[in-house]
Amino acid sequence: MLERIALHQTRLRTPGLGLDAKGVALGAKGLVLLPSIDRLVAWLSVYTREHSLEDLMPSLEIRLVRSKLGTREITLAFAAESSDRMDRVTETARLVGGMTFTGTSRHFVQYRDAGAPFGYDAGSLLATDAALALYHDKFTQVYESDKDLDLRALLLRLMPHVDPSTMDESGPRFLVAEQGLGPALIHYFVRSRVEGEVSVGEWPPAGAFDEGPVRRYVLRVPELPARMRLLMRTTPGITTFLPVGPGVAVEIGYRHPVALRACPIFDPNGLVLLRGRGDEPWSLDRLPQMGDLRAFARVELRPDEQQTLSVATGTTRPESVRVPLRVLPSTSPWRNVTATWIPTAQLPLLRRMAYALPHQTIARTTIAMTTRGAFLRSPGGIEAVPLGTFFIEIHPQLYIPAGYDVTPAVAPEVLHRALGAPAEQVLFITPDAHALSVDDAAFVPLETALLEAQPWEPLVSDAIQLALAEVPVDLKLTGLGTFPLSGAEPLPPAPAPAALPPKG
Amino acid sequence: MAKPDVGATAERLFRGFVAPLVIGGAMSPGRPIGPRIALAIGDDRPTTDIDLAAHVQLARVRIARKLTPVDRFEGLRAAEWALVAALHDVVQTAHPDLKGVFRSKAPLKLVNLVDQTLDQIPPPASIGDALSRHTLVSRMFEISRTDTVVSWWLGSSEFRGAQPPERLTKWPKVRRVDVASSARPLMSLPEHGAGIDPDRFELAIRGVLAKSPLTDLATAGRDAPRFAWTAETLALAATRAGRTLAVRALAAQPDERVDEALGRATKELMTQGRWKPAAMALDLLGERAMSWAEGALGAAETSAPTIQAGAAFARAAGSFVARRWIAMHGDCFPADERFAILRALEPASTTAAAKELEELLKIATATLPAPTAR
Repeated sequence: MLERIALHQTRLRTPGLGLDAKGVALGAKGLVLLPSIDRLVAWLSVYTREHSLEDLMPSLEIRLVRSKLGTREITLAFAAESSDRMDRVTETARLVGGMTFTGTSRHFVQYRDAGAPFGYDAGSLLATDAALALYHDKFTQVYESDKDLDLRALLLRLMPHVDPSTMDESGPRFLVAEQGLGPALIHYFVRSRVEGEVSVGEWPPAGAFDEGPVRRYVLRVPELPARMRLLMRTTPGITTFLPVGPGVAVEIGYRHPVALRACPIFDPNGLVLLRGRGDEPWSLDRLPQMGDLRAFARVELRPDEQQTLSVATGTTRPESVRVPLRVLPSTSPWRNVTATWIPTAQLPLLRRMAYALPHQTIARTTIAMTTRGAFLRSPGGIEAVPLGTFFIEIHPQLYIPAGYDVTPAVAPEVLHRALGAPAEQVLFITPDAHALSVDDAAFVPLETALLEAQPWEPLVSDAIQLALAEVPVDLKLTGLGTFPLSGAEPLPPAPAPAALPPKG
Repeated sequence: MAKPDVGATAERLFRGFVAPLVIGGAMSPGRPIGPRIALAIGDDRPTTDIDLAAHVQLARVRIARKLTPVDRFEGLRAAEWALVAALHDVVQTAHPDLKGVFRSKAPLKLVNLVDQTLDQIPPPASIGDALSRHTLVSRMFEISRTDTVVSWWLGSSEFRGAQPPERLTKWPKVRRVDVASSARPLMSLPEHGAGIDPDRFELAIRGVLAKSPLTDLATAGRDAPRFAWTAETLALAATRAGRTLAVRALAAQPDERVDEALGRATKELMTQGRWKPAAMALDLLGERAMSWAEGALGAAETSAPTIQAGAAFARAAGSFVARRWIAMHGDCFPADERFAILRALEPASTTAAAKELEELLKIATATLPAPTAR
């Protein structure tokens, strides 16, 4: 029998069940009960379409369990951590016909639903030694653990579905060519100027009659030209794979039922190639050394009689043509005005103006206080602070006054390099062609620099909550000694009622 | 035999049992007390820990204020000391060490002593007395023992109500240590290592509840022992103030469970032909139904959930009494409100349980003597 948890309820009967910050009943673990393997695959398929399994993987345990009646079901246990995660898992489980529970060790109660927004608590616990006791509003059931299921083995056993839409997808591809086709394919790519890398993988022989290991060429092509896709797809002995995640690729024309990019269980240093038609996957525990395709280009040597090397006889430095930097007024429109320099005398005006500035301006503006005044920068435009000398950013970390141009008209990169300032210094060239530098680290958000520290008063809400909390009554047993009932004395017998003296 | 030290026993009882029972925390009951000392403690016995005593009094006020505005309680009276001492001994009957090699009947002997203690405790003399007792034992069903089973590669050991020693849990990976803790609520203690028969233990708990009728009603929705009307609970519900407290105490529990318990208990009274006590119980059900109907006026209409037979009977009986009350005294409501209350009560009056109630009332009418004209 389950009980709905009420708002502000603090005491729960189920061991290991607590309340999170939202008041939702939550144990250390979450558990999804699924009736069959195909529902498990459906859950993985739906969940990985929107979310990654990366955060669940460290604690994920998939187990085949058996009820008292002998029915076998599948549990998927994971660290609950927060009600947000549990809500996501529950939505998916509900979609595929699973049920979600929460608990810590053995007793798991139904996770919250629309009928009980704060969750459920077990009214009475089953006295059982079974590995798992589930309490649902429709049933209470105990389960014994049958065996663990390995997620990687399950994913490798799933047959990819036929999906012609993957044939036209762009992006990198893995090509696996049989040993006899490899050299021809490499020369074809080199001739066609297709970039890529190649290695040779070895697989154990298919049967006892094979003489040695099976060798295949594995090519990684960043961008296979569209004109070659059909050829690569239809040539016997060449199989094309589309990477679907780190360390795993699926044959072109097929799609794995689970979004493998969301399942970080394949070693990124290895390679698993999932084939269609029910063929077994090809796996490389560690991808062999890959070489550039161009290294296999045909080698040609010049004749020996030609001069092998032409050596210069001397070098000279170019004559100096340097001229001083000038800043001249310009009629070009102002663009990218993102900084201003406010002299010290105008700082009181900035303080008064701070009360009128909108939040967006305060939030995105940074300020550096120097002995020459304040420098303000705002990537979205500094016009909202109508004070000081405006500057235009012509290069990262380099500003010139708005309405001015520098001469000679060199590129901003050249100008920045000529000034020779370190990367962490922000340079401002003033109208009199004088360069000022401010350390980039000196710029702090304007909103943190604006407010003065206010005295604050601690509130006592936590103390009141602690005082109102009811601590569970925890019975501790101590020894009773050799004669435990020695102090427990019965009442003395009641005096007999007064009787008349015997007759006579 | 040395003379028992009543003061030391009272101090131990207060620190190790009463204070945790009211405030919460680690409860460490000691050796059984017995009726002679329990009844000798007397009124207003001072305790040495003034801060703890003040904390307990504060917690009692908080428990009482869930039902009625009370500002303070007196110290424990003689009957209250005896009541908590009896509960202390009941809990100790489930102590796994009580039953030994040469004392196999010790749990039974102790529970008989508890009966002697309870026989000497008078029923609450007033509503205030009932409330005062309730503040002491209201959390009795929250008493819970944690049993821990430690298993390692060579064996296992169980620790009941005690922490396993650290040496058993060291090197958990090397020794393959597994620690499993289970909560044992009060009513399940006899089934876990105790020498007391569970039915006898439940009987003793019923005896304690009989001496605190408000607690009996305030925990009516419990699983065990199942609620049944007693002379004490009926006496409490028969008074105006007592009925108010009872309705408030019942309202704090899940409706479904309370209705199930009250309906079943009231039906038992009626099938046994105890019409006078049944009338008192029906009054209480009527008041609950009236309060529910008034609350339902402001709430959105929802479909009626499937309920158990006992709960359906309680609602049908409550609806019957409430409709009758409105027929007699309904002028105190405006016409539209009266109509809305009657409409809210209507569904419960047309169920199968309502027909069953009607049959029982026909029997009652036929059985009871007709009123004589004066």
